[in-house]
Amino acid sequence: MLPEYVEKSIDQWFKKSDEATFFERIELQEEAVKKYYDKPYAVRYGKVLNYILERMTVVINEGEKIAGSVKEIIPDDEQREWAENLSCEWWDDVSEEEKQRRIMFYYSPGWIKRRNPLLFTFGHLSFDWEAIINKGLGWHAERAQGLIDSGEFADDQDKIDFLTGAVECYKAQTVLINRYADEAGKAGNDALSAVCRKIACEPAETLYEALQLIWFVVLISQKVAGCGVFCFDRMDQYLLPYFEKDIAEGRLTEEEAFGLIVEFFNKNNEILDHGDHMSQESDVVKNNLEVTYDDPNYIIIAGLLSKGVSGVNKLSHMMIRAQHELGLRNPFVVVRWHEGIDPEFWSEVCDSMRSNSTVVVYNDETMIPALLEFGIDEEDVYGYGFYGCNDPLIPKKEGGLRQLWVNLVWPFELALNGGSAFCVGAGDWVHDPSANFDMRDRLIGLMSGVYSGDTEGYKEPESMEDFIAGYKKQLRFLLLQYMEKMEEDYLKEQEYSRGRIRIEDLFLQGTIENATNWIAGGTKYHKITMQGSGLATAVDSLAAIDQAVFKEKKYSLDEIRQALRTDFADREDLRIYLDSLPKFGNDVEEVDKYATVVTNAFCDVVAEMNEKRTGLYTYMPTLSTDRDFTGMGACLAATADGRRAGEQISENQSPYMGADHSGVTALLNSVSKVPFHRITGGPLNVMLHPSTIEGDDGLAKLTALFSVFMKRGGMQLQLNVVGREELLDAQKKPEQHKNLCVRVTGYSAYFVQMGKIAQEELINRTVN
Amino acid sequence: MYGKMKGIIFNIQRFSTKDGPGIRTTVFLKGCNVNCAWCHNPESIDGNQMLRFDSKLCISCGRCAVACPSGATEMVDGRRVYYLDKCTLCGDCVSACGADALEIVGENYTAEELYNIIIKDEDFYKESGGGVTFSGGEPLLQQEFLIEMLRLCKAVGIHTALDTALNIEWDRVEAVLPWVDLVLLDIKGMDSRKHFQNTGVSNELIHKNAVKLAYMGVPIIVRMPVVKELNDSIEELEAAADFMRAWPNLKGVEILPYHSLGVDKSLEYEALEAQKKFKAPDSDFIDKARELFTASGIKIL
Ligand code: SF4
Ligand code: SF4
Repeated sequence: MLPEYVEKSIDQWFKKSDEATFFERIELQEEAVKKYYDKPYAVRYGKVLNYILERMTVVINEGEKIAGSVKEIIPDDEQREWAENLSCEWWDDVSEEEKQRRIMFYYSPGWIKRRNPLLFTFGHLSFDWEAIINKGLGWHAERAQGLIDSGEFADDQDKIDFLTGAVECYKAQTVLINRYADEAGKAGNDALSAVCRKIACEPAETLYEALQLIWFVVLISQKVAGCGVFCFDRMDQYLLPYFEKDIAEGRLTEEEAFGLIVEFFNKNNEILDHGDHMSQESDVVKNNLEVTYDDPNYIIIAGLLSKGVSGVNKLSHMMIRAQHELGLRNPFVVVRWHEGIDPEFWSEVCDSMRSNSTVVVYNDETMIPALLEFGIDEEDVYGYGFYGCNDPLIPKKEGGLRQLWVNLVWPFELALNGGSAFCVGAGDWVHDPSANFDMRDRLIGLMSGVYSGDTEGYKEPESMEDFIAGYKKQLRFLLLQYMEKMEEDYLKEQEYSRGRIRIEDLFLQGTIENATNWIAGGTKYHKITMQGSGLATAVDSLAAIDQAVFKEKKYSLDEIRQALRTDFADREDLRIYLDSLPKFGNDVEEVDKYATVVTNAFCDVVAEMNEKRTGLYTYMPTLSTDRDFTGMGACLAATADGRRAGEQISENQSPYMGADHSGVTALLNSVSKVPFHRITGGPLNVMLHPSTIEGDDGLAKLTALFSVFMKRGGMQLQLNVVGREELLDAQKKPEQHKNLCVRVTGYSAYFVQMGKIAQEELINRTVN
Repeated sequence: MYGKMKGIIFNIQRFSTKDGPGIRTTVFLKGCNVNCAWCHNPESIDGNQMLRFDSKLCISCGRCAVACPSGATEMVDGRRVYYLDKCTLCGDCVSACGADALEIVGENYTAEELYNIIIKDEDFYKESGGGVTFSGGEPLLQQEFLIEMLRLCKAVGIHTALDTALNIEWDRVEAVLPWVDLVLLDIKGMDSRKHFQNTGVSNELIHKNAVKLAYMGVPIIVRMPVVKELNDSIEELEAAADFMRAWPNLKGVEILPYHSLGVDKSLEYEALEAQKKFKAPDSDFIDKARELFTASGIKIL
């Protein structure tokens, strides 16, 4: 049973207008930025934040325990035009070079345009939530002030500015929380008023206070400062002492604790807008004025605390139950599975997944060795977590996301063609070898153009081993080229970031202590996620070459090369033959073994990059495409799996669309052959028809299915239990399916709010 | 030679969750000696391979005719024409067709090949208490192959289930039982006249065999497909309950209302239309059945 307030809030959220927006943020921000323009950067940052938090409307909704909302309005045409124009003012004259110095990495031009250059952050990280609640905002401010007063950094004005800005920021947050205390008091809500008054400066002592404090920090960071896509770290662990103390001292019943957790979870949904950021073509997204509007916030639960010690506790159970009953797209709960996990808990997790709640599972048994291989220390590794979309992190010890979607199909094209691309690519990219990983690629982290490889010393392969060696050579060539350019970029960015601050620098480990923002090296870890994309397309293509050219000797390599170059013009027969060869996802050893070949080649190159690197950043391999698998296919020629030029590549860790027809056990067997003990993240979407797993009996089967996948070395699982008929019906009658929640890649979306293209993709992948 | 015997298989379904306990692989053996009016897979009745053509998918490109080495397929007036008597089922036209309009229905497997597929999901069987189910058609029609398969599976401890209508000589049933852990017994009706109308065969032999089977020590789950107005009467249920009440190894009865059997979407239009005249029993039928069977001490699964 959900608390009444939450039921009402969910209902209202679905009813709210697509155009509702937190407009006063933009107005206040603009006033403040102009007012403090002459202050040093970090100080200005703190002043601006303070200006907004002193003035933004305090919203307390009737019936809620945990407060903290923003005031939304529907802007009129004039207001909208004014706001739209701001982005031109901020960004139109900024060159790519300058953008790169300032921000280095972002999603898309649409994403950047709502952001004032001063308040820039990319989010995608975890604060030290434990320190926030255990120590309080006052302690944080005093620590920073203490460092200024100590004289330790007296000869470095940038550092002094940084710390001064930080102190301003902490105090600004205290200001807003005190304003909530005032308002609550005026409204006669003494309980809320007392909680707010206390946590405005002091540490939290109860579960209620802890959740309320975390929520204020989220609200400020996410809705005002634009730092979204949070990881909440291991919430079932750091909240446990508060919960246990409350229970022991009779302050709270378990049901009341559950109510607070549910309210906190729902807050994460409440601050979202309608729409889905991966459907950039949809109007809701195009017209959105928010800095963050659909960011999935990840909560990590269960998992090992240390070797052999499970973290599953009462709160883990409660959080799964909360997800199950809420059925919302946000937050996003990541369950860390391990050998010997409490079977009752595991069954609850599977039951919750079966109900399409936003729960995914990761495997400690593969993740921990992979993180150790790619540069995480033994003392930190058990604390790992994820943020959206499915990227690993060591919470509180590293800054935001930096990534490259590594198109694993490119080296295949290059290997087949002596290092040169077939150049069928669409788009406005320059087809010039020197353009590989040009600025736009690096800024958005996509390989979206046409690439050329290593043409030196090419010899026609005489065996499959030769061909594989060629694949590795091209992959290595591309990634080392990327690394070289990237290292230069980061040096420029670090230089630019001196004396600057971002909201996250307040709550990470190492930044304040060193008076250095994370970008300049304040934190312990810095990484770039290398998202290996198109695994199945690469695997199927290699397997096809092996079969057609070397095993059956039915076609020569040159014949295939010519056919692919011309997109099978006059060679439909060859395409049909290639298409009919066995594919990844059907538990066929001769094909699946190439998943090992490709993954190991990829990981070996990434490992080599880590050996060669000179900068702050280490590289971590994942297998993931997000939803960009369509775009990543656009510039690729036809491939030996029978795929035509320009068609999409395979999605995440899945088989090529429609290629798996041997049942879900075969799919899981194929995928679990990937050497995941070297892969640090990425999703596998599993689709099941509701009828196959209904009832208690069905739950037992689902639980067994997933247990085996994990035991066989699978890494991640996310489930959609939905039939095609239901999705088609939802397209026709959206109002009747408004809360149908589906897992997309590293986030969930309400199906009817997704763009048409995304809807079709999902329908095509759904079993009858 | 061990494992080299061949069987003809209609379909293999992995992660089968409706044919016995746990996660199973269900193997559908081709060939049947009962002809249920509501059968979704008419092609499974014939015990031989055949070439299936789906005119809806055909784009009349003519590749099949070019590929056919035996003159069994021709293009006449831009349409595919097929001569059954000339066809050797070589499959060349199937691989030539890019529109997926052709398919060889039924595939020959050696026992070893089939076993190698079944064994791939061994971990799932163990974890879930599942195993393999041999279904059909009527699997007992390929009795020797079936025994070979059952023995291979039992040898490594895989739980085996047999889905049968028992419309076959008793000694052929008895011969496989040593390797069968569970029988899924299809009872399609108690009234012998109606049974004949609905399936084309009498239920006399079936019932005799069923009674013998009931005392062989093998656990039995009875499965009753129910189609509105064909066999959904209370009298049928009462007769069935009476019939089974005393069976010592009866684990329970599963009612399979027509709709949940799932209409095969790849059926030709006419066949699909023909299917539509069958309807599921009324929604309260299962409740009535549950009451009635429970009163006789029989569990509804
Ligand atoms: S090859 Fe396929 S699509 Fe072409 S005519 Fe034959 S059956 Fe039709
Ligand atoms: S299966 Fe072989 S013989 Fe029969 S029609 Fe096709 S190509 Fe001709």
